[in-house]
Order: sequence, then structure tokens, then C-alpha cells
Amino acid sequence: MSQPVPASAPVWHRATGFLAVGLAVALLAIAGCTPQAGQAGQVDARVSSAEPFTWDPAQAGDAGSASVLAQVFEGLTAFDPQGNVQPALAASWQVSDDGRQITFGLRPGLSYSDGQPILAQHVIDSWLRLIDPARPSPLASLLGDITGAPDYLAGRVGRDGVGLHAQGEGTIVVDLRRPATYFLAVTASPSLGVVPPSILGAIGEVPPTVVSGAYRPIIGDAGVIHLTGNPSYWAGLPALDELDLVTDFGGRNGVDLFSSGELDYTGLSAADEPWVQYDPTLGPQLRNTDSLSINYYGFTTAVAPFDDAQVRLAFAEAVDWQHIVSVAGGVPATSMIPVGIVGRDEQDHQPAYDPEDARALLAAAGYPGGAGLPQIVLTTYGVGFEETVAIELERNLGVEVTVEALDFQDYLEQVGGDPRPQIWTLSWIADYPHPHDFLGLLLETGSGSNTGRWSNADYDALIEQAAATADPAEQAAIYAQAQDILAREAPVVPVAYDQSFALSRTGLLGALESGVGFIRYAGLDWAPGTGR
Amino acid sequence: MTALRRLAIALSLSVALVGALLPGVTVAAEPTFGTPSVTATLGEPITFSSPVSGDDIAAVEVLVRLVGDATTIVIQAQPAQAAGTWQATQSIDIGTSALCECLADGNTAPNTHFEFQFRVRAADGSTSVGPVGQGVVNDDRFEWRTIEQGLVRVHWYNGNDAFAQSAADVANEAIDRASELLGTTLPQPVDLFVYDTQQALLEAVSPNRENIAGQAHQAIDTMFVWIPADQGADAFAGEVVRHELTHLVFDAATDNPYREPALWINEGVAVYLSVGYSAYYQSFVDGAVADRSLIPLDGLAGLFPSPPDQFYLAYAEAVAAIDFFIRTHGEPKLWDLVRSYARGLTDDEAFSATTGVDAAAFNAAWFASLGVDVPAPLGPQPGPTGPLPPDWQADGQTPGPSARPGESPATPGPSATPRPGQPGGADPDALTRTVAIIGWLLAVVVLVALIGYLLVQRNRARRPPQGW
Repeated sequence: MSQPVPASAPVWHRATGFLAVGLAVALLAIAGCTPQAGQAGQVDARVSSAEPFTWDPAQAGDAGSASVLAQVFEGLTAFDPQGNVQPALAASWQVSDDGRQITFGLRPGLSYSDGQPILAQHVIDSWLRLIDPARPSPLASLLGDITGAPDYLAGRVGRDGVGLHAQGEGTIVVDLRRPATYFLAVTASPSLGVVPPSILGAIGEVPPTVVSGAYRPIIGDAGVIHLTGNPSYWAGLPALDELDLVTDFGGRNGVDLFSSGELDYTGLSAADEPWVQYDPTLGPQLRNTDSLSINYYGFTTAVAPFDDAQVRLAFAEAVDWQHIVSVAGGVPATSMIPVGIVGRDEQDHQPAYDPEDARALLAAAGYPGGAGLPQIVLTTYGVGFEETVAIELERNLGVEVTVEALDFQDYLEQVGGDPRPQIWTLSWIADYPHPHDFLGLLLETGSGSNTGRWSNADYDALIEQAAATADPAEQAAIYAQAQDILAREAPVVPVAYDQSFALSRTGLLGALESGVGFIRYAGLDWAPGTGR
Repeated sequence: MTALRRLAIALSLSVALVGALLPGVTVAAEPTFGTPSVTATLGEPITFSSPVSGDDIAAVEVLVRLVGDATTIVIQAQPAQAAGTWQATQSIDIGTSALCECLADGNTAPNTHFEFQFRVRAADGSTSVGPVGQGVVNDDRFEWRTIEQGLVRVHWYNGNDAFAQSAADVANEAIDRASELLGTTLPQPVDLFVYDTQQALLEAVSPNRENIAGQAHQAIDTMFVWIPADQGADAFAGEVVRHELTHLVFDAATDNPYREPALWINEGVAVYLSVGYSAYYQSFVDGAVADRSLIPLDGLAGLFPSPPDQFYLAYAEAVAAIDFFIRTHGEPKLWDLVRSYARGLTDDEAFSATTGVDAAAFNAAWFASLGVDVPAPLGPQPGPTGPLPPDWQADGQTPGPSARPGESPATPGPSATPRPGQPGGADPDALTRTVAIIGWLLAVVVLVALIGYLLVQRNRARRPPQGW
């Protein structure tokens, strides 16, 4: 904290270190920790961006990497600004009557940025990389609905055992083990972007030199990724074909960079949003960018003591989740399905705050007052409500919880590794806007994204049933039943929905986040009379 | 010791016994740790080192804790050049006591005291920890002198003892005043570091920022100020010290695990107790009232505005609102309000509990007293759409099963998928359905053609075609 003083005295400035709410920490972490901005050269637009952990779509498992890779590698379908699925590399598709086979037809004359043709087999090869048993993707479960995919991933069958077939150069046939109503949306995931075979040997740490998407990335000045338009892109050269993605602010604030014209689009800290909404210049450029995401806590259920549902439920009921989120200015979650997903119901599926019952459950599990429990560690990546949760658990259960914070990348490795943390936290942004992306991918038995390795046959049966039905009401009712099981078993606790803001320059068209956490830069343009 | 660890040891012992009987069976030994060391140089990441050896080392981590903080920071260590030594580097963000470097701009602030120890993870996930080391980030650019008086330790390097003594006096007076009003005091002495140039201060706490002259950090019970030695604890320097120390007492009075009070209350109280609602601040408020640019208080709940004019106005409004509160409800109610935040209340809850009306009503009353209306927010605003490829359906519907893009206004979501099929057998409704589908497709083709025409016209009006 500091104070301003009259201009005649030494000049003062606000101090850093104040955060109004816990949620702001995450946003500041994104905005402030990013590296230094380069010089604003002659580009069409400059936007703030995450720096991808990897340039390999098959190895990316975080939203920040996906937001960049989505510009570079194109999928068969894509999300429009409203989050709807639209044709991308695929011109058309047909679904069999039983819903178990989808036939995609590529657009004619597709080519990579180097002019080489994009072929159906390349799509299949790219997808198979996600379920390569030798190096599976963190999001391998995206393809879990394809016949044979789980078996290939487990090493039980070879590539030929996977229900993916190329017919000629332009047709891909996908066999599904169940009529997954959401599979067209799955194919819009950045993870399923088509990777040119010519770069497969060098993909990962360095930006790709050949792309299937709208832009080719070039590492520019420190903290800047330059995107140059791909003239071979299926939709033509993007309207804004020279972009700078600024990944490094050099300790400066995104608002300051936006105000000075060094950024045309930037995420905004929740702590800055209150004043920006009233600012005569910035207020009209303020955008709400809530994503379809859920912040949740989970337990690793394969190991004691959290292999016992009573213990999990005791921990879940001992924390007043609604209170700790709402008092911090967040949006409390009532289910694992974020607001805005078709098929979400308005029921409260979160375990009720009931310390007395929590204590009884813990005692019934053989740990009265927490006696006999091993050391409990809550592992996090340094944001969220962890310290508050630990305090409430100690107060209401008598259990001392150690909070350990890791760097995000290390954290991802730990929650995806073995053994896994006892209690962990994740934020999950929709790969595709459907309940299955949350209830299926995150919690179905054997799913690679099922961090806690929870398994429940009744739950699995319901998820299978929901995936097989076409009736929205029936599907919603089944998902509600599945969530009742979650509330009883508490493998995870939904905590908060996303509340995000951005600043977007007046005249910048198409800077709309589709709910899956990124903007399609190929859809950007400047309104007449505006621009850099 | 964790249960896993105990289990691992028990298994090791069992295996050892078996090993004694069965020649050729080897047993992984417990890792051994040497004395850990740390290099904490101002302006550079902290480097932790320790000899670590063992047969079963899957990973080596360093556990770091700010003294007095509950969160343990875990850093991955790597083998160092020296054989058998592991090393890790990290900056500590005292703003969040976590890993992000943003609030300290990549620096760990001076006077950050921390504990650390190395931890080995074995292949089975069991862990062993080494001895605890301690460290502190020192600003060793200067020859610091220290005096301790009451609840303040003054560290300074330029000026005589009287200079430091006067700073200590001012600081203790400020603590006493704030403590009396807020009903609490500092839990332990605070450190006050006095720099005699702004540059020296900036290099210590915030090298990438400008115009900073003081910072208070509750996480490390430390405040850093720039006071030229020739000013001593004169009016200006005294104001600074009082202001920052009020923050520390305020933080202690409102401390809770749920949230912090709105910033305008924190800053308003600090200004009120250090200088009051002075003519200087009144001039900012008067100007904003005149040009209708007063920012509602909910706009000052988070960070204050960046633009300098609004930044100073924010401080002025903060103390003006506190002044209005006291004139309306009396000073004791203000301290009741502040203390109520220790219960983890929202602003609305705290105001309602103290005054009977919520924060918005208080703001409205204050604006009304100034003769201005409360403005509506100017954002967020919906963003304008951009160009879309011509074959993307303009209404953004999700293509569904059996649909070809451009042929079908398919229904979004689950309804787009057909029910599980009924293979085999005659379908008595087939003809009816076929006729309906043909009619439906014709209608769709007309609709899509119309939409496509409109899209083309719109794009032409906007800009030259770009290849969509």
C-alpha cells in the first residue's frame, strides 16, 4: 500500500500487493507474470496471449497452449464465436442412422502452408498421435468414443484396430463405439488439429514451420510470438494477417499496455474490472469473456484415505464452498457443468455444507476427529481458495491440511503422474460445449482426464446411456442422476464458475471468446476507419 | 512421517530381512541429505542447494515456506554441476506467498524470511525430507543500522541516529493511534526500511515500476519507504510512515481467510489517519463533482485506476467517503465497520451490519450529498462480430448428424443426434417422412441461399473480400 502526495513532493504511486479477491490472483498471474512486450511494429493487431508449453497439439493439455495452437493447426470442424460447430477442413459430414459412424469429406484442394496437400490419412495420423500408447496426449480421452481407441491406447490392439479409416485422399470414416452426440464438436478441439507430416520429426519445442491453420508462428522479439497469415488456409488469407501475440508484459499492467496502444486486446484482472467499467474510455471497450469452465477440487480415490467415499464426503461437507466463493466475489458452482452448456440443469448438485454430518462421516470411516488419518496434503498451483479450505477443514473436521503450491507446469505433471496428490484442484475449460466434456471426460472410468481415478459402475452406465440418447430431456435427466451419484460419492467438488474480462479495442471485430477459452484470430478484422 | 512412508520403511525392513536370507537381493537405502544452503541475492532468484544421495530418487523437490505463512511452495530441483548436489531456483511472490512473480516483478522483496528443506520422492511415491534451512533476502547494497523501539525496527543507512529515532517515534505514534481506533495492534514488531533515494527504493522492491515511494507488505511485516535524510520525519515523511503503518494495522484488524475489504476503505482510513480529508484531496473531489467524473465506490473496490488523474482522484474519493461516513454515522461506527471485516463479510454485509444499509446505498447517499447522480457502468459491452467464412451458417447453429453443412439448419446439442436406430423391418412412415424431408430441404436451400446473399452483401459493404 502507498499513498499519493502533492506534485510538489516526491511522486508516489500505488503499491502492488493488494488483491481484492482470491480469484484475481489467477488473472494477475496470467497477465502480470507473462514476459516483456516487444516493440509494437507494423502489425495488424497485437493481443495478449499465453505462451504455449508445447507446439505439439497432441501433447498440449492446457488452455493457454490450446489458444495458440488453435490458430496454427486446423481441425475438421471449428467453433464460431458463439461456440457452435462449423465446417473447417471438412466440407461436409454424414452420420449413419444409428449414430455410430461419421463420414467426413475434406474440402477439395486443401493444402498446408508449404503447398503440400492435406490428405485424409494425415487427419487420421494426427488423431492417432493423441492415443499413441508410447506417448499419449493429456487429452487422449477426447477420442475415447472411437471404436478401438481405448484398446489402442492401452496397447491391446494396433493402429488398424482403431475405427479410423481413410477412403481415398478426401474422406475420413470414424466408427464410434456409441452414438456420441457431441463428436462433431470434439473434432473442433485444438488437440485434434491436423499436423503436417513434414514436421512430425521436429514438433514440440519449436514453432512449426508448416501449418494447416490460419497462421504460421514465428518467434519474434522477447516475449512476442508473431503470427503471419497462411495464404493456403482453407478460408483464405485472414483479414488480419500479421499479428503479434504478446506473452511477456515485462512487469507492466495489461491495462496500461492497452491504454498506450501497445495491445489491442488483453485479458483483464478481476481487480481492475471495477474501475474500468466506469472509465469513459476503457468502459465501452470492456468485454465479458466468461468461459465454459469449472474450478473444482478432487480427491485421488485409488489410495487411502480418499478411497473411502465417506471420507471424501466428510471433506466435501466440511467446507462452505458457496460462501468462500461468493464472499470473494466469485460465482459459486452448483454442478460440474458450467452455466451455458445445453443440457445443464439448475439443481444444486454440490455436497451440502454440513459440518456435523461431516464429522459423523469421518468417524464412521474410522477417523473420529481426524485421528488416524495420514498427513493430508492439498496440492495446488498457487491460486484459488486453498488456504481457506484448509482452515475450514481444520476447524470443522479437526484435520490439519498442508497446502503445497507448485508451478503450473510442474503441477500438471504431478496431477497427471503417479502417484497423484491426495487433494488437488483444477480448472477445466470445455473442449466442446456439452455435458459429456465434464461428466464423461473428467469422471468416466479409465478416462485419461479422470485425475482422481474414480470409478463407479452405475455412474459409467449412466454416462454411456446419456451418450447414446438423442432426446435432450432424457439426456438431461440421466446426467442429473449421474450428478446425484457425484454428490453422494464426492470424487470431486465443483467450486466456482469462470468470471473473466477483457479489453478489446474499439473497431476490432470478431474478438469474441467462444466459451472454449480462445478467440479465432482468422475471424478478426477492423471496422472501416479503425485499426492500427 | 506419512503412512506411505511408514509402509515403505516397513516393506524395506521386510525385504532387508529376506535379503539377508537370499543372497543377491538388494535393498534401496534411505536417501541421505547434506546440509542445505541458500543464496538469496536481491534482484536474483533464490538458489537452493543440497547434497542428496540415494538409490531410489525419482524426484527431488525443495519445500519453501515464508515464515508465518501456511502455504508450502514446492520447487523441482535438478542435479547441479557438483556431483551429488541438487539445486533449484525460485523467486517468492510475497503478495500471494505463492509462485507467481508478478507482484514483486520478478524479485523477492528484501527482508523476506523463509524456511526450506529438500524432499526426495522415491519411485513408489514415498517421500523423505532433509534438514530445515533458513534464509532471508538481504539488501546488502548498504550498511544498514537498526534501532528497535516499541513495535518498530527502523533500518536506515543515511542520516544520524536522530533521523532514525524520529522515524521510530512517528511510526509508534501511528501504530498507537491506529491500534486504539481499530481495536487491535500489530501481532509483532514491523521492520521499516528507509531508503534515501527513490532509485534505491525502486531497485529494492519494484525495479520495473515508476513513481513508487513506499510499500507495506503484511506478509513479511515490512514497509519500505523513501525518505531523504535531510527531511527527517518532517510533515511529509511522517505522513508517509503513518499512512503505511495504518495499512499494516488495518490489515491486522481485518485479517480473515475469506476476503479483503474494498480498497477504498483501506486507503481511505490510511489517508484519514495520516493526513485527514485535506484541502488537497477536497480539490480533486470538487473537480470531479464539477465535471461529473466521480467514480462510484464499487469502482474503487479492487485496484485503483491506472491513469494518474483518476489514481489521485481515487485516493481523494476514498478519504472523502470515509469523512462522509464519519459525519453521517460517527467515528465509532467506522471502526465497527472496519472490525466487522474480520468476520469475512462482504462490503454489503459489513455496511448492512454496521449502518443498516448496504454499500450501494451508502454510495448513493454520499453522491446525493454532493449533488451528483450515480453513473451507470459503461461496460462490459458485447463485442462486435467479425467476418465469417461464407459457408458458415450465419445463425451459428450446430450442424447435426445426417446434416451436410449448408443443407440443414440442424438443432444444437443432443437433439441433433438421431435416436438409436431401429435396423431392419418396414417403416410405414417412410413415405411421409421422405416427403417431409424433401420439403424441409427445399426450404433450407432457399433460406441458406438468402443468408449467403445477405452475408456477401454485408461483407462487400465492409471491406474488400479477403478470400473467405
